[in-house]
Amino acid sequence: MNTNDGGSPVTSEPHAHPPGAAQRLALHLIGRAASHAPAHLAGRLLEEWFADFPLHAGAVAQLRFAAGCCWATSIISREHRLAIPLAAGSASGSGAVGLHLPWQSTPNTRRNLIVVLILLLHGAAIYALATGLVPPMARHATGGLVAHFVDEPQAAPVTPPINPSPFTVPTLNPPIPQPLVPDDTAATIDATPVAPTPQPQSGSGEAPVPAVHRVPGGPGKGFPNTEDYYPPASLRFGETGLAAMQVCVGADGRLSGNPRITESSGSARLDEGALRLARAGSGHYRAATENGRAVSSCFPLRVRFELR
Amino acid sequence: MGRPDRDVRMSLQTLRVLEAFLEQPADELSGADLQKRGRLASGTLYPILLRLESAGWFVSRWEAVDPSVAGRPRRRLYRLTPTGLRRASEVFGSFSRGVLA
Repeated sequence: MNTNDGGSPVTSEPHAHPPGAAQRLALHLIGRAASHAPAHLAGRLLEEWFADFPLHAGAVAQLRFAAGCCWATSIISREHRLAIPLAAGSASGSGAVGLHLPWQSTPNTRRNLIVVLILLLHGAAIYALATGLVPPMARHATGGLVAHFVDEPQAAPVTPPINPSPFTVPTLNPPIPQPLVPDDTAATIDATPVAPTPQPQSGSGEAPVPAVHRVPGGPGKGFPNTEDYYPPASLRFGETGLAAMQVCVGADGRLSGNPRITESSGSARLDEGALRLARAGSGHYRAATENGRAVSSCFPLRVRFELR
Repeated sequence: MGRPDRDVRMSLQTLRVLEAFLEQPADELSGADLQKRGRLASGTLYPILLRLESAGWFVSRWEAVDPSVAGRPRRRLYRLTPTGLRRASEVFGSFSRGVLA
């Protein structure tokens, strides 16, 4: 029992009939909440809450009311701790509360905490967008994309010239060897004359060079999925364009050099995406062939980034 | 009573409490009445009542009944002071002008 703040002893139970379990729990919570309130308010709050309690019908409403009283006690106690006490007697008699609450000068810690949490959430969202942590979401949101490869046009078979310019083979006239007869020797030397070296035939008849059937290289089996190389930032900004590259590939289908941009798409991000795609495809290129034999070659590779 | 007339931070819940009083400024209302009129939870309502009372906007008194006769505890009744009435009217007047004071 508490008779503070002009309140009379709480002699009556809120309900005449025996309370149920929920009601007992609610009353217990209310009593506990009031006992934790500042001392000069405990009795007043207990009686006030007991008086208001029966007006809440139903176990749920009564428990909510009791829980609210607990919450109210925590707020009142906190504000009381921050308050500057006025005259001690002002809290009694007429029911005035002896609290000086500096409403607008004391920082509200709960509000500050909420502001900090909001700032942190914004920071996390900005970080996620800036670092591309959401490319799958962006990809689904844009509804897909398309990348085209442009094959190199078929090269005409290489054929030898039909009428090569005639050339002449110079005729060699080797000197005829003469037997050496020394002046002071009478011996004769049987010299066998050296047969002349056969001379090549002069004229214009060369053997014909066979035609070369060349098939250009390009992206082959197992080449990476182009959608995976659409830059996430470009997806978000809706960037599209066509990037043309020069790609050099060995006979094994691997890059033999760094691909380079020959015609920019207009976006550095898209160009870089195209280069990454070209590099990732190393080993999955279809090498160019000449007469069915794989050879090293360089060919243009164009990637179109397009949103659907 | 000598209570100070201080500014009170206006929240939506505080405005609901004041609105309930301004409907009948001379009425005395208990916490339960205000809960029903303002659709406020008890955890919000009672701290607001104490703030407004300490700021001089409200006064409160015990209901003039004998608990042993009534069979229930006395209710705490709140009433707007002239200062509270003036300040609450100013607050709602500023809303009608489109300016939050």
